[in-house]
Amino acid sequence: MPNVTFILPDESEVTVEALAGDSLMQTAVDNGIEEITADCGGCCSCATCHCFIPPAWQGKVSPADDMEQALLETAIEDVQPNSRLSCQITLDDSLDGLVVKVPQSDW
Amino acid sequence: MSCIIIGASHAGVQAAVNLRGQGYEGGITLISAEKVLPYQRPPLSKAFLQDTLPEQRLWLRPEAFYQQKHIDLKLNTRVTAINREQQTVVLENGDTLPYSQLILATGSSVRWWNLPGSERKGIHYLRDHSDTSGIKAQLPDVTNVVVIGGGYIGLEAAASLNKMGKNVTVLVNTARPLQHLTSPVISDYLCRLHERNGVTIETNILATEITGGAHLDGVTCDNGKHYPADMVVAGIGVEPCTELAAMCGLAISNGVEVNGYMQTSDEHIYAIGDCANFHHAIYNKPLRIESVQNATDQAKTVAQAICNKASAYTALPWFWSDQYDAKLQIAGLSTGYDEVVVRQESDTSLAAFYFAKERLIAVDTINQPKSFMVARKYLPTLPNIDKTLLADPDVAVSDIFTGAEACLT
Repeated sequence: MPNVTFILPDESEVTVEALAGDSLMQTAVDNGIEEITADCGGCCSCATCHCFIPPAWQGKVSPADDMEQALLETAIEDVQPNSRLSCQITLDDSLDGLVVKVPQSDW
Repeated sequence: MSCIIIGASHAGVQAAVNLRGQGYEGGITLISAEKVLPYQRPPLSKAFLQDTLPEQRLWLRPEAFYQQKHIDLKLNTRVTAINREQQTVVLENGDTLPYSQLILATGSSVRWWNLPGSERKGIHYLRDHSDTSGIKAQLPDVTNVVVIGGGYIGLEAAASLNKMGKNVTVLVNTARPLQHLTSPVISDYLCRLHERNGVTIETNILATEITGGAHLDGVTCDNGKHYPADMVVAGIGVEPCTELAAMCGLAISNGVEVNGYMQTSDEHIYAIGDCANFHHAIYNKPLRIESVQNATDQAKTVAQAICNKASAYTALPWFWSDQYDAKLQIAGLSTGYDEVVVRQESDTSLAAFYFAKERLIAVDTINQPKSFMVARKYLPTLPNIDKTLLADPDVAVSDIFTGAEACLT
């Protein structure tokens, strides 16, 4: 059961227990992280689940595919090299302790 | 202070969530006629039908979420009447619940289909959790499926059932699938995609009879042909659920009439999602939109209005669909277009940009997410865009839009 810490736009932190196999987006939605609206339900269609992965964790999560990259580049105003769509990150025990920064909703 | 929300699909659940997010401190009662937890609808014709999404991943929120947020979720509960004078709703069991604000998120229901033989077993619709469960329960005994209707639901069901190894024929009563929703170039692409995958699409054809005994065995059409089937899936559209609103005398025309803040003709009652007819600020006409985006965004608008932070609804409509390896993303509404510009980036990546009187009004994309996203950003201004550049796949789509001249109404 990986633990994940979300750093919210007001700098407050929420640590939750995730289910291995769930996406990061699903974990956020299930735990009431409302900045992650995830309108399309996680099929990489909307970019409403944008988050930042701190450098220490960047190499550990699976890399973004072309579709995700395209959405990030065009949809997000403040896109950063560590921007990700949280619906495309699957959690497992190797990501226990993951820290994620949640921006103010762009939508 | 208390708010009652009738209907617990995408719109109703999001309204409850957003009310709490906006700091609403009164009671929130969320009423659903269905027995299962509120769920996502898009996977019902895709991943959930194909059994690649487990049921607990279908729920919009886990059960504990509603308790944590002090949202009183009443499942398997029907509202039979709204009393506007007393500001109460009446439940089927006779209970009466008072409200300060009432949100109608009653959605839409499938258009029933009445033709000879439609009482036979084996006919399915695709709207609710129970519909998909019913299809899945029958599937082990099914070889041949006839899908009736060439809209998004029909095509998604066809793709899913094909993937599950069924022989699928789609009967479309127009000259092409999605005829009223998209341009020929997109319809043609999808037709070829379905045919390559082994689905037969028959156009300009009208089903006239469901044949068989107690259980159906096929469909007869107006051209005299008979299509053998063990299962029929009908996707022939939906109608807004306006009965409760009509019974209590709210203004109705193609849905419950609302203003820009989702408020009905009664200031204490709001309507959102599939059931609401509103004046769209971008397209400057009354619209009723059946989509997740519309449901979710109108839920935000209603929560802001109730929490005295009113901001009128101006969201751009957008949609998506997945069929085989094709990701369709649609931004804006193409109805009324007079010109289509096609941008083909590869054999499997194309976009159709729709113009009306030289202004860009919508785009349909297949495996071209950049065009979708860039257009989505600029479409609210209905911009003038250089069509020659747009059609040139060697020019980056983001460069074409940057600096585009806004053409506001």
